Amino acid sequence: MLASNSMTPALELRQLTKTFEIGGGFKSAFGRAKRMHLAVDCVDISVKPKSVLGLVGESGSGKSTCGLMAMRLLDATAGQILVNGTDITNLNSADLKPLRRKMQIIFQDSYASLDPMMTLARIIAEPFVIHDMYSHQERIETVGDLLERVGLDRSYANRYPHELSGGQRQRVSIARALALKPKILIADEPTSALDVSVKAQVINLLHDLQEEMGLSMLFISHELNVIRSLADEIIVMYKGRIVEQAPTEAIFQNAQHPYTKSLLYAIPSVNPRERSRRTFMSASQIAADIPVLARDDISIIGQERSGPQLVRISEDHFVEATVSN
Amino acid sequence: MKIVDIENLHVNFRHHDGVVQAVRGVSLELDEGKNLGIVGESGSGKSVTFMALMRLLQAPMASIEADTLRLDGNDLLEVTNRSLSKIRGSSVAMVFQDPQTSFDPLFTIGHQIVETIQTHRSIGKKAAFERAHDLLVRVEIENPDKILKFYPHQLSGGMLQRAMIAMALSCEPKILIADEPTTALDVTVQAQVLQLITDIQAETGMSLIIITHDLGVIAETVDRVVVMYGGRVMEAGNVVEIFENPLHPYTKALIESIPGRVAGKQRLKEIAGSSPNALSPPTGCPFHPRCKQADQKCVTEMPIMVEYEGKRAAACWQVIR
Repeated sequence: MLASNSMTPALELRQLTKTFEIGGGFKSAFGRAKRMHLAVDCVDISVKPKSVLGLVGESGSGKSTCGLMAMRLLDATAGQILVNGTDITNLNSADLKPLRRKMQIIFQDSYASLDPMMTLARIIAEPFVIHDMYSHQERIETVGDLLERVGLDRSYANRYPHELSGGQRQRVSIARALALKPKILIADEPTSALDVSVKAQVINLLHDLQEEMGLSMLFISHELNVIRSLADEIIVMYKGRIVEQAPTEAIFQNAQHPYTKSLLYAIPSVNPRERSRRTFMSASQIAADIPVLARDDISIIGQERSGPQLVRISEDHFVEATVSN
Repeated sequence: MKIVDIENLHVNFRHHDGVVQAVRGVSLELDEGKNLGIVGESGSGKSVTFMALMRLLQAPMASIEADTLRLDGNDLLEVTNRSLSKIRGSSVAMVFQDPQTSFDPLFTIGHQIVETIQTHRSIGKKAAFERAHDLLVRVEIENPDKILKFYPHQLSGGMLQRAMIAMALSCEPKILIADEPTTALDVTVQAQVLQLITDIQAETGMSLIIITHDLGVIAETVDRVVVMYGGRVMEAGNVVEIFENPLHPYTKALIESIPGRVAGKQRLKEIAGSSPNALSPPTGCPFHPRCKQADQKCVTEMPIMVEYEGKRAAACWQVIR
C-alpha cells in the first residue's frame, strides 16, 4: 500500500467511464442492435483530504453514477478508482470489506434506504454486526451516542423508520453512515427531499460532522445554492462530462461555461423585487455558446481531442472549451 | 369578486391513534384574476386546505367543517356530487407535484387530454384533438403531434408536467391550483415551468394559487402570500413586504434558513426542533415550542389574526405588543 501523505487525494476517480446498454432483452436476441448510452464520459474527480467537493448537475448528468462507482456499488466500464492512493477498481467483495469501513454513502430517499422491519438500533448497529465489532452492551451505548450526535433522543433506538419524519430518517441514515467512523462520505442528494427548515438542519449537521471528524466529502446535488454553504470546490457535470471545475465562490462569481451560467441563472431569487421575465437556453444554445479559448492562454488537461475539452484557465479553474490556435 | 373564500376551515382525519387535526381554523380569500402563494412545511395543512376546497377528501375518513367554503360562487359545503364534477375541470383545475402518478400509464397523452376535454365540452373527437394539439403548443412542447401519441413513461418529468398543465388548461378554468408543481423537477426545468405558469396566468387572466414549501418559488411568481404552520395561518400579505419585513417570527426564520444566500462555507441559520404533531398539537401558538420570542401567553393562548397596515395580517402575540 502506498504511504498516503497529505497531498494524496482521499478519493480519486481517474478517466472514469460508464456506458449502459439500452434496448437489450428480448428484441436484441433477434438481432436488433443494442444501443449504448454513455452515462459518464472519461471523468477525473479528486476529493482532497478533509475537504468537501460539490458535484452538481441535472438528472441524467451522470453525477450519481460517479458516486455509485466510487463506492464500487456499480462497476466502471473504464478508468480507475483510488482511495488514499490505493487502486480499488478491481478489488473483489472480500477485499472491499475493510475498505467499506472507511467509505460510506447516504442517499436521497431515506424511506427506501432504511429497512422498515428493523428498529433504529438494529439499523444503526448493523455495520457493527457485519464488521464484528463491540460487545452487545457497547453496541447499545454506541447507538445511543450516535443518535444523540445526529440530534435525536437516545430513546428513539426502539422506534421504526415509519414513526419518523423525513428529516429524522435522514438523520438516522447519517448516523448509520458514521457508525464505523469513516474517513470518506459520499452524500447523494441528502437534502433534496426535505422541507426548507429541516434542510437547513441537515446541512448544518453535515457541516459540523465534516469539521469534527475531518471527513472528506463528495456532496452530490442538483441545487447549487445548497452546495454553496458546504463545499470548498465545485464540479459541474453535464451530459456525462465535467464542464467546469473551480473553488465554490469562483463558480458563483466567475462562471465560464454556458451550462454553469444557466444553473446559476435558474436559482430562484429570494428578492421579489428582482423578478423578471426569464428566457432559458436550450441544449443547442448551450452547445453553441461553449467558450473558445486561445491555445496560449490555457493549458490542456490530458490528451488533446477534437471538439470541446477540459482546459485549465487559471490555477484552480477548469472549463470545457474549444481550443483555437 | 372573490373566487375563493374560505372562512374558519377545520379538517380532521380519523387515525387509529386518534384524530389528526390537519387544518385548524384557516381563513383565506382570493379575488378573481389574482394570484396567491401558500407556503408551509409538510404537515402545515397547506395541501389539505385545497383538497378540502376541491372536496377531494371523503367522509368518514375526513371531516370538514367551515363557516364558509366557496369557490367561484358555489357553496362547496352543500354541493351535490353531480355539480361537483362540473365545477372541477370547468371552473377549477389542479396540477400536482408528481405528473408520473397523475397520468394513467396505459393511455397516450393525447387520449387523456381529449378525454378531459370531451368530459366537459360537447365537441367531436377531431376538434378535441386539435384543441389538445394547440394546448401542447401553448405549453411550449416541441413536436406536439408526436407527443400526443406518446405514453407518459416516454416523457421526461419536465415534459410531463407541461402536458399536465396543458390538460389542466384544456377547459379554460377560472382558477388553477398548482400544488408543488415544480418540486420534482430539475432546477433549470423548474424555473422554466414557473415562467410558463405565470405567463399563462398573465395571458388568460385566470386566478392562480401556487402551493409550495419553497420560498424561492413564491418570490418568483406570486403577488400575495399566505404562510401556514401547524394547520394555521401565521401571516399573510404582499410578497415584497413578506420578504423584506416579515412580521411573524416563523416567517423570519423561514426566510433566514434559505441556503446559499451569502458567499462562503458556513452554517446556515436553522429553525431548531421539529414541526408539531397533528395528533396532539401544542396549546397556544403552534410555533411556540420552536420560537425564540415565545412567552407564557404564547404557550397558553392561540394568537388571533390581526390586520396591519398595507393589507397584511399576522397571528402572533409578540407582534401585537
